[in-house]
Amino acid sequence: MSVAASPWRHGANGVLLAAILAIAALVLHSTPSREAQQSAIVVPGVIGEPVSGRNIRTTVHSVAAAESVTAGNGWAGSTPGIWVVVDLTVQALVDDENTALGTAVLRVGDVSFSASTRPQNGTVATEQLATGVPLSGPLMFEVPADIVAGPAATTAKLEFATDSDPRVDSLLVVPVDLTALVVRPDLEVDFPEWGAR
Amino acid sequence: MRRQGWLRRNWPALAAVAVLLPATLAITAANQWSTYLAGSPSSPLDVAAGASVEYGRSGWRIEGTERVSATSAAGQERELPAGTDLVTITVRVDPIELLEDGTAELCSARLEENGGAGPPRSWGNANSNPVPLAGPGPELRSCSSDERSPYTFEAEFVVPADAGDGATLSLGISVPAEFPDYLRFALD
Amino acid sequence: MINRGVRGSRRQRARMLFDRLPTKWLVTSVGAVLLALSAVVGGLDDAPVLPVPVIQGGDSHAGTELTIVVNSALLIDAFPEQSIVPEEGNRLLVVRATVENTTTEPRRLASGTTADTDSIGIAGIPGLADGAPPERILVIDDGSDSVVVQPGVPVELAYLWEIADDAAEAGDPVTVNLMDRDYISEGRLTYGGLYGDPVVGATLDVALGDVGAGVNQ
Repeated sequence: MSVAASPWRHGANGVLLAAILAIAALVLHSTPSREAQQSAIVVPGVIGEPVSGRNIRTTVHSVAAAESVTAGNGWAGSTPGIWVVVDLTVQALVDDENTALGTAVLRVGDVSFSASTRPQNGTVATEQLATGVPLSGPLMFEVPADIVAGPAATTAKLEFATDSDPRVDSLLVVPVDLTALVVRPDLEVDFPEWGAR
Repeated sequence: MRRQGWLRRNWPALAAVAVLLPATLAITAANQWSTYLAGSPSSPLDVAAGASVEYGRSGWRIEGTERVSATSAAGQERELPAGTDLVTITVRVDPIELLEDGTAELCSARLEENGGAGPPRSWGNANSNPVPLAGPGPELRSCSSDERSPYTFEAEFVVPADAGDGATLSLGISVPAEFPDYLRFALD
Repeated sequence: MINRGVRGSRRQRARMLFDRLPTKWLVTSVGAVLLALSAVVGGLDDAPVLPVPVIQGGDSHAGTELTIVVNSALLIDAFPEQSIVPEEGNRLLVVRATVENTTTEPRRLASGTTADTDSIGIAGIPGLADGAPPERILVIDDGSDSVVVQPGVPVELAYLWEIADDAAEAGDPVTVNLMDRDYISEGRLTYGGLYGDPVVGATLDVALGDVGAGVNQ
C-alpha cells in the first residue's frame, strides 16, 4: 500500500519476472518430447542370458552369417547380400492375447533390418507366443554384404518386442558384434520347436 | 502484516482449489479408465467349484478338470512340448435365450493364474493357443453358435508345468455383451 | 491531473497522425508492391507442371525411397505352385522388377485391395483401373508373399495383376509407372512416418511377352 513506487519495488519486480521466466524456460526444456513420452522401455541383455521385459522373455543363443540358408521346412533362400541368422528362444510371460514376436530388428548404426518372413513357418519372426511356454527357432536377417565389415557392425543391436509397434512397452536389446562373424557359404537351421530345451 | 491480510482475504478461493484440483484429476482419470474397463472383461464374478450359474443368455457349469503332463501317455499322444502340461476343462453350457438371428451366443475361455509369486498369468484356448497339439482333439473346443440345447465343450490349455504352483488356477468365461462382468470359476 | 494532460496530448497527436493516413492509398500501394514481388517469382500464371521423366526398360530409376529397374512385363496363365490361379477367362499380367530400398528402414510393399499402388503401377490396360494396386507381389527367388524390402539389399520381385483374357496380348505395350511417395512427418499418434499420396516418378512403355502357361516361375 505504498503510494510512491520506490526503486526497490521496481527492482524486486524485475528480479521476480526474471526468476519466473527462468523457471518457465526450465520447465519448457525439461518437458519430455513426444519421442520420450512414447518411447519403448529398453531392457538391455547379453547373448546367452535370458532377457525379460513385461510380457516377453528372450534368450539369444548364437548369431551366425551365411551366404545361403536352408530352413527346417525346406525353404532355401538366396540373397544378393548375406544372411545373419540368430538362434533364439522366446516366450510370453503373462498374456498370450495378440502376443507375437512382432518386432525382431537388427540395428546397425542408423540402418535397421527386420527379420525376414520369406521362410514362412521356418522362422519364429511374427510367430504367436504362448505364456510361459518357450519357442526356439531361427531368425534370418537379409543384409547387404558390406554391412558386416562396416564400422557400425561392432555395436550392432538386436531388438525384440511383442508388437510391431514397440512404443510404451518393453523392448529387449541385445548387442551383437557382427565383425566377429565368419561368413559361411551355407547354413542349415532347425525348424522352430516348442517347449523347454 | 500484509501477508496475513492476503491469506485471510483469499482463504475461500484457496480452499476451493484444494478441493477442486484433486476432484478434477480424479474425474478425468475415471472418465478415461471407465470406457476402457467397461469394454474388456475386468470385473470377475467368482463362482465356487461345481456350482452352476447364469450369465449372459446361458447357464454355465464346470463338469470336470483334467491335467496331464508331457511325459504321461496322454500327453505324448497329443505331442505336448517338453515342460508343459495340458489342462482340459469340460464346461456345460445351457443356452436359455437365443440371439436375434436364432444362434446361441459365443464365449471365450481363458485360464487364469492368480496369487502366485509372479504377476498374474493367463492362457487362451483353441485358436488363441499357438502351441500345436496332435490328434483330433475334442469335438467342441469352445462355445458353439449352432447348439440350441445344453451341450458341453472342452477347453484345452497348454500351460508350463509350474502353472498353479503356489497360486490358484481359475477358468474365466466371458461373453462380449456382458463386459465388464465375466465369470471366474474356481477349479478343484 | 497534469500528468494525464501531457499523456493526453501525446495520445491525441498520435491519433491525429493516424487519422491522416490515407487508407485507400495504403492498400493500393501495398497491393502494388506485392504484385511487383510476384512478377519477380514468376507472375500470375499457373506454375508449370514438370513432365514425368520417361525411361527405357532396363534403366534404373532412383525414387525417393526405392531404386527400381523394370526388367520385363509378360502374360501368364497362372502360378499353380503358389496357388495363384485367376478366375475363368482371366490371365495374369506380371511385371518383373529389381527393387532396392535406399532408406534406412525396411519397407513393406503394399498389394491387395486396401492400398494405393505405391511402387509400381500399370496403365493402359482395358478393364484395369489406372493406378490399381497389384493383386500380389512375390519374391521371384522363393515365391514368398508379404514382401519387405530391406535397406541396401536389391530383390527381384514379380508384380501381379489379374486382367481379362482379351485385354492384352503379346507385343502390346503396357505403360509402367514407377511411384514415389513423399515423407511428410513422423506420425503424432501412429507409429512410423506419414506419407503423401504416391505420385508418378518415372514412366516407361514395355512390350508384353507371353509365356503361355509358364515353364517354371
